Amino acid sequence: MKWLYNLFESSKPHFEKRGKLAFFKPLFEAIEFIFFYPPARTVTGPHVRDPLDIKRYMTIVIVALLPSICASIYFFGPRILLMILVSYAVGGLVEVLFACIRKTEIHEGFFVTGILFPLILPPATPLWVVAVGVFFGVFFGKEVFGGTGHNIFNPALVGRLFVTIAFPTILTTGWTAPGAWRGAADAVSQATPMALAKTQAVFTPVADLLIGIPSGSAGETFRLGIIIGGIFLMLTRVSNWRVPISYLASVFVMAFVIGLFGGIPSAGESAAPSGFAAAFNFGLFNLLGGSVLFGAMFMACDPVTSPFTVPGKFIFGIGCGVLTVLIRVFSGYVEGVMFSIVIMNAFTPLIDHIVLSMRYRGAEAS
Amino acid sequence: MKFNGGYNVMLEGEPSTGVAPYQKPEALHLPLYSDRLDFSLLEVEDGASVVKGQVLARDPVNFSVPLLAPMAGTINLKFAERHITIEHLSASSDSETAEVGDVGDERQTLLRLGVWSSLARLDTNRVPDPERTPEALIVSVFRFEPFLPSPAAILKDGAGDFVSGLDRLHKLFEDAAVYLVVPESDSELKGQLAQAASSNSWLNLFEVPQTYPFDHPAFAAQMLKLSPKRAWSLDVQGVIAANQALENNRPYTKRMVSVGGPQINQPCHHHLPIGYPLAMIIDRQSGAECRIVSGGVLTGGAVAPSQLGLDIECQGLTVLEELTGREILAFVQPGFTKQAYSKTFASVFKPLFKEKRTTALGGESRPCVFCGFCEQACPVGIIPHLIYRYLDKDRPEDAYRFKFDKCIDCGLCSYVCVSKINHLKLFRAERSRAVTELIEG
Repeated sequence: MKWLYNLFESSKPHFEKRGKLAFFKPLFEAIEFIFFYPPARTVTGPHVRDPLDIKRYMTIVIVALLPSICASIYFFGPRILLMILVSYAVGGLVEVLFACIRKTEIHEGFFVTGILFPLILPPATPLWVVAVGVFFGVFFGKEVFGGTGHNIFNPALVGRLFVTIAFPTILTTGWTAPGAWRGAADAVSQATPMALAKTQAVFTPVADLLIGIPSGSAGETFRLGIIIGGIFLMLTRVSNWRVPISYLASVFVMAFVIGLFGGIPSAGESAAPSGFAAAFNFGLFNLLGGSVLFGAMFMACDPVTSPFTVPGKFIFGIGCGVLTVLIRVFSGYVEGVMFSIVIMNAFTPLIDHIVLSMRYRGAEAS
Repeated sequence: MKFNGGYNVMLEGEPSTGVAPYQKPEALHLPLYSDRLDFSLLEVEDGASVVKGQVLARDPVNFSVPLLAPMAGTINLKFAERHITIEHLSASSDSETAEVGDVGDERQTLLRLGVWSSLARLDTNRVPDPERTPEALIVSVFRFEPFLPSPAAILKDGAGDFVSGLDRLHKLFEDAAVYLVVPESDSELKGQLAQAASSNSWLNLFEVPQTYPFDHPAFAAQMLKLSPKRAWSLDVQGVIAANQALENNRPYTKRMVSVGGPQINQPCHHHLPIGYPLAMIIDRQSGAECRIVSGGVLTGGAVAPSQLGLDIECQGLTVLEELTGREILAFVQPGFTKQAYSKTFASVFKPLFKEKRTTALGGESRPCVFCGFCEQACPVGIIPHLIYRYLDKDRPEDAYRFKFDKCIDCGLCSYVCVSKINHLKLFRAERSRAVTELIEG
């Protein structure tokens, strides 16, 4: 690694204040610091610090996503890799440009946004749509708010929301059947479990959902992997368990209650299934179907866009869960995860404000 | 009682309870400053000879607490800036002591013999007014921050001196309650203290989990719902010194100092006079660039290279290697050798171990991402990142609205911060601003 170190050292002057490439200093530093950590020392107390930094913190999220990434490539072919590549390239460009113009460091949050975005798209999404979406998401979802730590909405979801509204036909027809790329499926495209349930009252079996037999967004189909990744994130303390668990629990409870009161979709003229068992199955289907698991484990628990107060996290998770089921059951959309998280993102500051003012009510009076 | 937060930093080089043999120094270099004190009023002249216990200087701001000569010798004021150097130390110094003037009341005795400056008010951490009386005195016996002197080293000869010192202070402070902060786990010393507590109604044990910073006196005061304005703290040595000052009229000029850290050859305790040359205590392993931290590594301050001798408030010295190398791809390495507050390093599969730490910041400074670690680690249940944001925007009134006054400056929020934000620095700056305002207003 000595040669690489020397290379960085020798090219450094070009990026210094009067160098030819001074504009690109943030980019140069970002690359240098990926390979060689900056020799930053503590100045005052605490003289020793925890070894965890933002780079590793974000890397842990990517590690937790690995089962989903691998499964999506297995199911939908190498084009997923291309989508990830485009997402990183275009989103990275926006990030680098903003950093260079602002003359600040490049922040690591993008490493997560850049991988999350392609994973929540239909697997057959054209690459230019990936590019447009990630551009919009990073630009309007994050950078205009001031970059990492200041954004209100999850940037990946902002991008996804934008392409959903801008290119509705592309985004609703891109559901490739898993394995179709290598001839392992009969049809090229396939309706998602949520669409099947809503339009034909066909409920995909739980086991199929877990291992990813039905179609769905690139990263959401292999649900066993999502569960493993999500638990890993919670165990490492990188994600706070309160949001995903309350989200998932409230989805189940909400769907169960709706199921008890006859809200389960039925096919044609046959009566809607009812009873305790049917409601339970409906709850389970809503929990595992669609992108609830992925959304709860990797999107909703984003610490920047979810409340930081402990009760707020529960309120946020429950809000997401209730909204998701309501949208699924009562609206024209088949899936409500994206909308529910974005709506709750908007309520995050309010939730925190209310929780804090209740917790410190006595303090204000005195 | 419920304890939330807290965290133990596992640092290599914990001082053993053994006390290193005393080597006679050539000269003593007494710094005219320390963490809380500033001895700006000199009472000796260059070239004068002094006897043991003689007043060398006073701190006019802090009730004229004195800096006393630990040994007899000749004064040299020109040797080093802001130091009083005592040369030609006489061997017979232990028998001769400075003349005792009017034996005033006991408080004056403590002030005169250099014990009073060990006391601290819990709200401001300043030396308390000798005219006032606290409602409670809190003594943290066992310290969990790496590294402060161990009571096992200080109380080697038993807890007798210590308990009679507590008794004297209790009477001196008009029946103030005395609280001893001790860990829940049992030890011989704790047994002795528990025995003393059972026979004295004014003496109470406050048991805490063996986790930093539950040993902090200000934390104990909060948990016990004592008013921080009316509660004072004193360390174990201060109690013993008070006993010896009141019983034998002995000046408090020697300190038990712990010397440890990853860079020290044989971490142990030393019993040394104030002004003892630091170079004679610090026995480094290598020639690497080092930082000497006075006090714990979380809350202590770095010893300036210009400081030559042990200052009056020094408790422990911890020597850390300064970070020089640059780690390669540190964020993707498994991390078997690094321990973290989160479970993001492979070391979670190993049993706890003492870690060789440097002064590494551990990453780059970034904006807060609301990971919540500071709130989880905080022992007093405040939200450090929220308070930091308000103080950073110069809105202290909002910070106090969110209970900033409960903060005990333990530094854990800064320690665990993923974004490497130094909350402690800003919190301390605000506190000193508030204290100054309080005094001047």
